[in-house]
Amino acid sequence: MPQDHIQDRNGDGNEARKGDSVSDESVRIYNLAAEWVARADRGPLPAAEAARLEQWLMEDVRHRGAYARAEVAFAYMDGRMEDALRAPEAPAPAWNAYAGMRGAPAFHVSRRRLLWMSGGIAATAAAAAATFIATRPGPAVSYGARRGEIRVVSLPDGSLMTLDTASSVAVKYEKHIRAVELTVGRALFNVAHDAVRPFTVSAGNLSVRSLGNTFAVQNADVGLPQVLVQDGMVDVALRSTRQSVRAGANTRVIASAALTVVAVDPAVMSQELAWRQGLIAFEDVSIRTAAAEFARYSDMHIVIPDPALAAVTITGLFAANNPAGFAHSAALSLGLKLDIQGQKITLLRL
Amino acid sequence: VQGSPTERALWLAEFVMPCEPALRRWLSRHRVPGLDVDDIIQETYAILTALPSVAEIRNAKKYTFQTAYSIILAYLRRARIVSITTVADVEHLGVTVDAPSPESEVGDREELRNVGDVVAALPKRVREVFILRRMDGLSQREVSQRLGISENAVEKCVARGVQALMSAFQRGGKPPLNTPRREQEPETGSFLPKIRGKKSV
Repeated sequence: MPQDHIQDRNGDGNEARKGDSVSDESVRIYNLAAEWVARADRGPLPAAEAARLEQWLMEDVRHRGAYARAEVAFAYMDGRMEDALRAPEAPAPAWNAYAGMRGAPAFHVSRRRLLWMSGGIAATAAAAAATFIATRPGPAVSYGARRGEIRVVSLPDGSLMTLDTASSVAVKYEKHIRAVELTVGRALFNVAHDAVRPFTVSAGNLSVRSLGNTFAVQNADVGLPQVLVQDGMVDVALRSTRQSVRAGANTRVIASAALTVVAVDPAVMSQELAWRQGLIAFEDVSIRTAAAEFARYSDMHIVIPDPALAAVTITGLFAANNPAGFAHSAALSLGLKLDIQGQKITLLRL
Repeated sequence: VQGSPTERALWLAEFVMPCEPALRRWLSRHRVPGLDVDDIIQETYAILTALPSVAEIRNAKKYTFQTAYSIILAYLRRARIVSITTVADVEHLGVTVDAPSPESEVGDREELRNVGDVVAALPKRVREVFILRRMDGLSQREVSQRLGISENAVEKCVARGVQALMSAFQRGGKPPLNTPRREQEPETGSFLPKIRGKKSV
């Protein structure tokens, strides 16, 4: 039974990537993951253990990856390994320096049995365990992306959450609800379908409810609070007035005094979601606004002292972490000069 | 349920795990300072497991490589200081991601055969457990009754087999160095094989 999992790592696992000890660390993680998979294969986990497993998985993306990899290794041990499993008691040493000279492979791949024949029972047990784990109530878990960071978080039900720079969320999965609170910033959610357990995102005055689709939510600190629906359908409500609207694919729901739904061209949609790839897209946006956008991603600030100049618009796709690159191309295309002092870039007329 | 974890595990076992050794070779050839190959591998599995659907993926190997590549890019984006050579290397990596070399296909087959060798060299008891559990579809409890051993012992055998496979794929199917061929039956104690030796090449 898996033991001693929890004590050594806590909170944001991404903080702790160290140099040379990583290999030993990953060996340890793989071994624990294998033990958990073996344990879960026995049948549904008792509540306390399921909670420990869930906590372990939530701690670090490497834990989730190792667990997935262990499940895959277990799945791999089926018909294709049958010959190896039934190999005679004392075959020639399987690993020696001359292994390559032994000619024909000792154990070719056998598909005599179909994958799912042997996998059926495992599937039932694992699915039961997975459901059980995913429905265990627990404390809210917080995730954050630092300035300049874009972070993808996979949630225990298979949903995926992409956090934009300087964003943070609190995730709380319970039996009947998957609740996320976006406290700061912007995030994209790829929600795994579950008709009986809605996925909700609250952000300030906004509240979004999904049964499984893709949408992005932007908090007031980024700009106008809004929801971008890429596919599927969501219900959006305003907490203050209890007004609610249903929005389908390629729409934007803007929250001001009331909710407004507007259609969004798919091309514009993908432009607005370019931040997922660490890119910022501008279409006829003033350099002032562009500079403010870059300031969200980096400590390097772009300053435009001349207000008339700051209102000039620019179009293009830029790397979010490279404000200097943006400033250079803006200077080039608009005929400006740059003054770079430490963390400050000033754009001036020639 | 479409895309349930175990369906996904079967898909990954069929299409992704077999190309893991090639992915490791590729990642090892293009090391990014500060980024561990295993971290990338684990994150790749985490992402592929969490995908809402894999139905659209036509070329799993390419997709896997691209996923790993995107992890490196994400890492570089959040890294504060990245040397010019790293950026150049990663740009080169981006060029190779879409074109896995032809000889790697041959390498893949060779490695899968070696994985079979590693499984064949597992203690007999472990292999018996897997035959009953995965070929004959008995539950762990039924396996324990059939073999007359405790359920804990069965669970440990399952863990042991899973570890052996994980480690075999980690080493590209090569056996660990200096490991006695058959160890004690994994009834008690710390039987876990160290998944080291991946740098034995």
